[in-house]
Amino acid sequence: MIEDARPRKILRTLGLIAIVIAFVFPVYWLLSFSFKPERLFFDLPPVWTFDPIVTEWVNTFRTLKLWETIINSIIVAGGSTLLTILVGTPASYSLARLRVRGKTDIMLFIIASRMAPAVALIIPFFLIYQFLDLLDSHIGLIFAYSTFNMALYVWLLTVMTRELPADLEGVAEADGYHPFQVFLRIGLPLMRPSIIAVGVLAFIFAWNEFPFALLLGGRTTETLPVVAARSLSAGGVEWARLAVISTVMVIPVAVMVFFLHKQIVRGLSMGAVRG
Amino acid sequence: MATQGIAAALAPRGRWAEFLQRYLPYLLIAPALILLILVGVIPFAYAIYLSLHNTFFTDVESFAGIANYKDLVSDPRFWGALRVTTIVTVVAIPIQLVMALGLALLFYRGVFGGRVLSPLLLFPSVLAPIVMAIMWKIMLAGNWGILSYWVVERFSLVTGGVFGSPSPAIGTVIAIDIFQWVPFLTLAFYAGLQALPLAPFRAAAVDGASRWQVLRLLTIPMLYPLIAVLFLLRFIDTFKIFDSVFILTRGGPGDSTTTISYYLFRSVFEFWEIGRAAAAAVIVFVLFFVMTSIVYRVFHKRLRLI
Amino acid sequence: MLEVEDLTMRYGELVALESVTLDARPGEIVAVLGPSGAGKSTLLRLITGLTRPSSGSISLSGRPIQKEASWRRNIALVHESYVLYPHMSVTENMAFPLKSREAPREYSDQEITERISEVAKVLEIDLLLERQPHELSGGQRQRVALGRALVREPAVLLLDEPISHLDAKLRNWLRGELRRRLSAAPWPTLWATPDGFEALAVADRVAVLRAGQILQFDEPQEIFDRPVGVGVAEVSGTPPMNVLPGELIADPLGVKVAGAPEPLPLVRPTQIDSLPAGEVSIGVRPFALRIVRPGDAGSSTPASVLACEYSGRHTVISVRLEHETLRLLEAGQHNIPVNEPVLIAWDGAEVSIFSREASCAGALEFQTTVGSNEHRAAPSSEQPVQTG
Repeated sequence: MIEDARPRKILRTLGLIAIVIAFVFPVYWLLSFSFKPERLFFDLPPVWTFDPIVTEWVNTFRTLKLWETIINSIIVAGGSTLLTILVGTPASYSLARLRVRGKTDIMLFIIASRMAPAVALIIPFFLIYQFLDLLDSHIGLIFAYSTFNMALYVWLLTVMTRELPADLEGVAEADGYHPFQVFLRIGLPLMRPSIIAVGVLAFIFAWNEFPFALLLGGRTTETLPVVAARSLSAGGVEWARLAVISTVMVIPVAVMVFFLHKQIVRGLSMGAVRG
Repeated sequence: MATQGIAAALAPRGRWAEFLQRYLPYLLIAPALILLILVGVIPFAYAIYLSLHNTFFTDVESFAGIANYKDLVSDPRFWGALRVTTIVTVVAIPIQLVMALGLALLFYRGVFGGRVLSPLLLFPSVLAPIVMAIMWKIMLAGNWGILSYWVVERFSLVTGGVFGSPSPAIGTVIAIDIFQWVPFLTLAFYAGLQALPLAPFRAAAVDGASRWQVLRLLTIPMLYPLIAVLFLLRFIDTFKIFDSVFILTRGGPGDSTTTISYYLFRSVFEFWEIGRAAAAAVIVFVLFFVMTSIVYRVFHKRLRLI
Repeated sequence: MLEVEDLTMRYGELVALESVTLDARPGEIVAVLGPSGAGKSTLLRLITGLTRPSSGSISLSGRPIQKEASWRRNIALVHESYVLYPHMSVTENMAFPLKSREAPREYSDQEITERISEVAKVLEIDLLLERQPHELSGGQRQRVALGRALVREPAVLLLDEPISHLDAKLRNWLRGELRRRLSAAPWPTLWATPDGFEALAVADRVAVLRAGQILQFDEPQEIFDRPVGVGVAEVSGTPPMNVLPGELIADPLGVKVAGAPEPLPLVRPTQIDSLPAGEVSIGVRPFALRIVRPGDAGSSTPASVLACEYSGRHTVISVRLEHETLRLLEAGQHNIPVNEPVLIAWDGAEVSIFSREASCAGALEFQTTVGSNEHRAAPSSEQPVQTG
C-alpha cells in the first residue's frame, strides 16, 4: 500500500498503541490478580499498586495439584494435535496435490464437521463413550477433539500446500520415484513449516477447549479450563485461584502468538488471508 | 538424513507399487475420512436415532416417532434459546466486522513497530474463551471490579450488576464476543487491505475520486470475498457460543442468556431429557449445515477456499 | 529407439494431440517445433507417463511402455517450468535422480559427485553447487533443471524448451554444446521448442507440431526448403517465410499477387499439375525479396516501408503491399524512412506455392491456433509445389 507522510504515521502508531493497550490491559489486570494480596481485591476504588506475592500460586499448585491438571491438558491437547497431524497431513497432501475425484464434496464434508456445535455432538458422544467406557479418559478426549481440529487442520494445510510450486510431483516421478516416495521425500519436507504453523493452531484450540473436557472428562482427566470453571462454581468464587489458573493457560498461547502471529491470523481465517 | 533412510525403507515394490500408485490419493485421505466419520457422522446418526426414542436418564427406551420434535417445537425455552442466539449473532457480528474494518482502514497505511504491536493485538483473540470470560468476570464483579467501579456504578448504567437483569446480561455476552474477535478481524482486514492491487487506487487518484468514494466503490467491493469468509467463520462460532455463558451467567437471569448450546447442555446434564436434546441438536445441525452450504456454494468461486 | 505411434490425447471435447507418430533413434536429436499451445508439452508428458493417452502407443526399443508407470520408464524430463526441489541444494537436486531405486544402475557416491561436477562445468553452474534454489536466478535454475536430466543415463531424454530462459550468449553456446553431447549419447533426445531457428540448428530431424497434429517430420534442410504447407513455412527460418494470397496462372506460368502490376513468373515448375489453377498461397523467403531501383531489370512491385530493423549483418525491412506485410532481408545497414515508396523484386526460383483448398475441420483448427490471417487455408491438406 501507498505509505504516506511521517507525522501521520506517528499519529497512527500512537492510536494503534492506545488500542493495543485497551485490548491487552484486561489481560494484565487478570494476571495482576494472581500476584495481588487477597485483602486488596475488594478495595474501593480498585488498587493499582501493591507488593506482588506468590502465596496464591503456591497454594493453587499445592491444593489443586495443578501440575496434574497441566499434565492432563498437555496430554490431551498434545495428543489430539499429534493425532490430527498424523492423520491430517497425508489427507491434505492428497487433496492439495493429487488428482482426487469429488474433491469439492470431500472438502465440504470436512468443513461441515467443524460447524457442529460441540454441545450438540456431546449428547451422542456421552452415550457412546459411556458404552465404550471412554468417559473420563485421555484417549476419549483426544478423539473427541478431532471433531473440530481435524477440519481446521486439513482445510488449512490443504490451502497452504496448494501453494507449493506446481509440477513438483511430475518432475520427481520422472526422476524415478514412486508417488508415495514423492510424498515422503518431496511433499513432507516442503510441508513442514505449514505443518508446524497449523499444528500450533490446532494445539491452541485443543488447549482452550472447554465443553468436551467438561462433559466427557472427569476427575482423572481434568484440564485447565475445567478446573478454572470448577473454582468458579463451588460456593463462592476463588478469585485469586482463577487468576492463577488463567495465567497458566495464557502463557503457552502467548509464546506461540509471539512467534507465529501471522500464521495464526491466517489460520483463524481458514487461509483466507495471507496474514 | 534419517528421513531418507525411512523413506527408502518404505519404498513400495513390485505389484504392490502399482496398486499403491493407483489408489494413493484415496489411501492418503482415507484415515482422515474414517476418523471424521467416527467422530462426526456416527455421533450425528446416533443423535438422530436418540431423537426418535424415549429416554430415561441415559437409557434408551421405546421408539417415540417424532414426539421429541413435537415437544421441542412446543417448548418456549427452545424458541427462547434460538431467539437469544440469533440476537447475539445478529448484533455481535456486524458490529465487530465494522469496527475491525474501521480500525484496519485507520492503520493499513503503515505504523511504526508493527512487528511488536500486531502480535500483541492478536493476543485477545487466541485466549481461551474461558479465560476471556474469567477476565471479564473479575472486571465486572460486584462493586469492586474495575469496570463495575469506574464505569457501571459511576455512570449508574445498571443497578444490581450487569448480570442482574436480562438486557445488560445479553449486552455483556455480546460485548465480550466483540472484544475477543475485533483484534483478529482487524489483523485479517489489515492483511486483506495490504494484499489489494494498487492499480485501481492509482487510477482513482488520477480520476480525482474522494476518499469516501474510493472506500465505497473500490476498497469495500474488493474486500467482499474476505468479508464473506470472515462473516461465515464468525457466524459458525458465535452461533455455538457456550463458554462465556457458562462462566458468566449460567444462562440467567431467567433464561435471558440461554443460548442454543447452553440450552442443549441443560437439557442433557440438568434435566436429562436426552431424546429431546438430541432432537434439538439434530435441528441445530441441519440448520447449520443448510446455511453454511448455501453461503459456501454462493461464494465458492469468489472465496477461493477450494 | 523411441517410437510414438498414432498418439491421441483428448480432454473432453478438446483434442490436445491427434494421431501423432514419430520416432527417434539413439544419438538422434528430434526437435518438436511448434507455437505455444501446439501440444508439445502434452506430447512430452505422455511419453514421460505423467498423463495417460486417450489412444495410441509409445514404445522404447520395441517394448510398449504406455501402460508402464512413469517412475519406471527411466525417461529424463526437463520440464518447461524448470522446477527444482526447493528444499535441496543444487547438488542434491542433481543427485536425486541418480539415487532413485529405478535408476538403470547403482551409482557410487564418488561417481555421483563426478557426474555432477562434469555436467555442472558444461552448464557453467559449477560454482553454484552448494546454493539453494531460492538463491538462483531464472536462468541458473533452468540450467540446474537441465543438469538434473543430463547427469542421468535415461532411455530417452525429453527437453521442454530447455534453453529458452538463458541469455543469448549462453544460449548460443549451449545449443552447440548440447548438440555435440547428445549426438554422442546412446539415447534419443526429443527437444521441444517454439523457435524455428533453434529447431533447425540443433536437430537431426524436426517434427513440426501445430494444433496437436504433426504437419511435417523431416530433416531440417527439407523442412526449410520444402515445407509441406503454410503452417510449416511460417515457423521455420528467421524471419519466417512470408505468406500471401495469390492466383496461379497457367500460361505463361506465374502467380498474380494483389498489388503487383503484372504476374510474377515462376521458374522450373515441378508437380504443378497437382495444383489446380486459381487461388493459392504464395510463400517467399525474406532473402528472396530485394529492394530495387526503378528501371532495374525484372518485374517489380511497388510497396511502402513500415520499419527497418538492423541486426548487425543484415537489416530486416518490413514493407506494406496492398493488405499484406512482407519482410525482406537486405545485407548491410539500411534506414529507409517510414512510408517511403519502394519497389521490390521477387526471385522467382525461391517462391513456394501452397494450395488453399482445405477441409472445414482443418481450416477451423488452423484459425484457432494462428487466428490472424483469415484468408489462409488449413496447412494440413495443402500440397506443395516447389519451383526451385
